[in-house]
Amino acid sequence: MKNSLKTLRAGKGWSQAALGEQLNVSRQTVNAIETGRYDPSLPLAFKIARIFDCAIEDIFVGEA
Amino acid sequence: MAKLSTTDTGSPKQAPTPKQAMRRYFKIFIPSMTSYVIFIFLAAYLITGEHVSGLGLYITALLPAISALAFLYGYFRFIGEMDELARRVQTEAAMVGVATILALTLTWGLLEMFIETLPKLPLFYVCPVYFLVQGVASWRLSKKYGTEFCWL
Repeated sequence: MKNSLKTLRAGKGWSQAALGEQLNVSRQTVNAIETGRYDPSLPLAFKIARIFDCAIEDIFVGEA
Repeated sequence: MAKLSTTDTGSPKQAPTPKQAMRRYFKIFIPSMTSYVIFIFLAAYLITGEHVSGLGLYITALLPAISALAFLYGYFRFIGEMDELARRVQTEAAMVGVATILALTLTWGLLEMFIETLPKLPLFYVCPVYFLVQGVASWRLSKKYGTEFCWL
């Protein structure tokens, strides 16, 4: 699944660790999501969407 | 198309941070493993020296298991408190460990059943072999997902 998390995070000027702290996950987890190595659970995807004040499908795009 | 709600429906109880979970884990891991080593040597000394008998023999032999159970409780609680990617790594590693143990015990069990000259494999080795395989799998999966390696 592709996502725009890195761009959104950079737009806020947050480090991966800072975003991880807000999401209560490790920096490595944020990095794995950004690089597409890991697709987050639905609750975590909701949390991410809420932090960036947008809908899940604005951040995560399913691959056809 | 209607946009998905971003309302968080997660548990109202705040989960511990990864660091808090690690600290909670070590509070069980260190005493349980220390007592395990002490009980192993104590049991070996008492039993091989024939200092205990009857019910005392059973209790002495099972003492290390109490520590091992305490460790397992802490370990599984830790898995539940990890962040979700770390939990996924541990869960996948556990599946590799279980599958390997099942394959090994089934294979060796069949050989033991049909070839009487083969030595009997003590059940004690199941747990250490499981954790060894689980550890290697955990290391490999940590590399794959780019997480910190965490074993036991």
